[in-house]
Amino acid sequence: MSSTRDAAVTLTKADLGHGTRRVLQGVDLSVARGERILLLGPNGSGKSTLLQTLAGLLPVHGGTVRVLGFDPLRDRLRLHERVGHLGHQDPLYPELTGRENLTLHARLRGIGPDAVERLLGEVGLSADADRRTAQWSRGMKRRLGLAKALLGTPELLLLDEPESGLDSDGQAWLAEMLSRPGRTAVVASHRPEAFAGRFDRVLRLDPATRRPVEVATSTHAEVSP
Amino acid sequence: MSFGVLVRKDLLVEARGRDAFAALLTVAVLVALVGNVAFSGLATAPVRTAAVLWTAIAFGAQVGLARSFVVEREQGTLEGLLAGPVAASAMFWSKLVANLLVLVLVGIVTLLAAAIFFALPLDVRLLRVLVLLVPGAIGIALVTTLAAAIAVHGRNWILLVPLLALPALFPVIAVAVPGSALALGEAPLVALLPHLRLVLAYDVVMAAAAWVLVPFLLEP
Repeated sequence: MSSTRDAAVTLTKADLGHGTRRVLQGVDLSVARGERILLLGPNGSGKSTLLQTLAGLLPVHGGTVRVLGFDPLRDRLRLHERVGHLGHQDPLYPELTGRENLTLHARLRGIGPDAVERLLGEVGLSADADRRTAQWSRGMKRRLGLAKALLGTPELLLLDEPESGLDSDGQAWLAEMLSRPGRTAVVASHRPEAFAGRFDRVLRLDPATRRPVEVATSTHAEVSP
Repeated sequence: MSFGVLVRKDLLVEARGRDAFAALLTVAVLVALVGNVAFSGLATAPVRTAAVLWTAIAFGAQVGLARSFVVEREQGTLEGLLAGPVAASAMFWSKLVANLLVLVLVGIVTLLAAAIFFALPLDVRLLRVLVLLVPGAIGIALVTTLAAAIAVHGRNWILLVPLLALPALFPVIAVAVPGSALALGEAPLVALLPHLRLVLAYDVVMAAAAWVLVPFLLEP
């Protein structure tokens, strides 16, 4: 745990949910800068809700939430210059090529074409970048979604099942990328074995208590999804 | 800056997918065909052409533009954009520009088709209609895009968009149809001014409504 001042993420008695439905209640959680958190839990336990709230995409129903010192909803635009988010779906326009999709998000962040080319290379998509993403496989789309989340060297990564659809090479790259020094990340997954040893803490969202429970201090420990 | 980037994206997506254009054009051609038969002998050629033009644009917009934001929501790109440093209002105004260009393009095609069907001479009078076509299309694009933004999170968006938009479109259609008929007839250009003023006033009111409402509709 970390002090609030050093924390990348702080939730204090936070109630989170969609619309009028509260999925998580009274959540107290702190994530330090440089810390990597893995979220586990069954479908509907609130993993995506927690990530969307931290990304400023859902309102907070009660309590307080601070991400990199910002109120995620009120300071959404300033926060999003510093956070990389990838949700369940890959946010791609099927009519556009891979390069055009990534360039769109890069331009919206004021980032030049060099970073786009570097990221396309890093996720292994340079050769296919000029094909429309409608023709791409699920794994390729996921790689591009991850490249989009990495635009601008974000201070915090919020990733929802990032390993979904990735082949073994893609999963190995993802695990390596997440374990780079100084990386701060909150990742939801159903497959903790894909990230062996890469996380500092593993939390399980318990549908009964509607709160996260720490189940391991690292993914070295054996945990089940 | 994000507005220009988003306009380019919306135009590129529409140019390659042609979803809105194809739906609008289909409605426009059907309206022109039916109008050709139904209005035959009932009114003068300018009145029939104006009626077909604005019926096609108003109803075509409900079919072609209603999905503006629903498509973005369904494919995850709405969340993808909102997860970046992009104001929701920039998304709305860029979508409006793309929708407006499609509406005007289909309006011109419909005007030409209707003029041919109703044996109007293809002369400068068709150009005079543009004086009302462009501001009228702005009003229709504003209202329909706003209705699409209101309906984006609803399940019955396909019903909700025309339900919200069509009543709000009545004033602009009520002014644009007789105005366009005048433009296609023998009246001088100055006779269009009262119609133009009303349509522009309508556009200003709807733009102000969109300016106020959009942050509440699209921001998380």
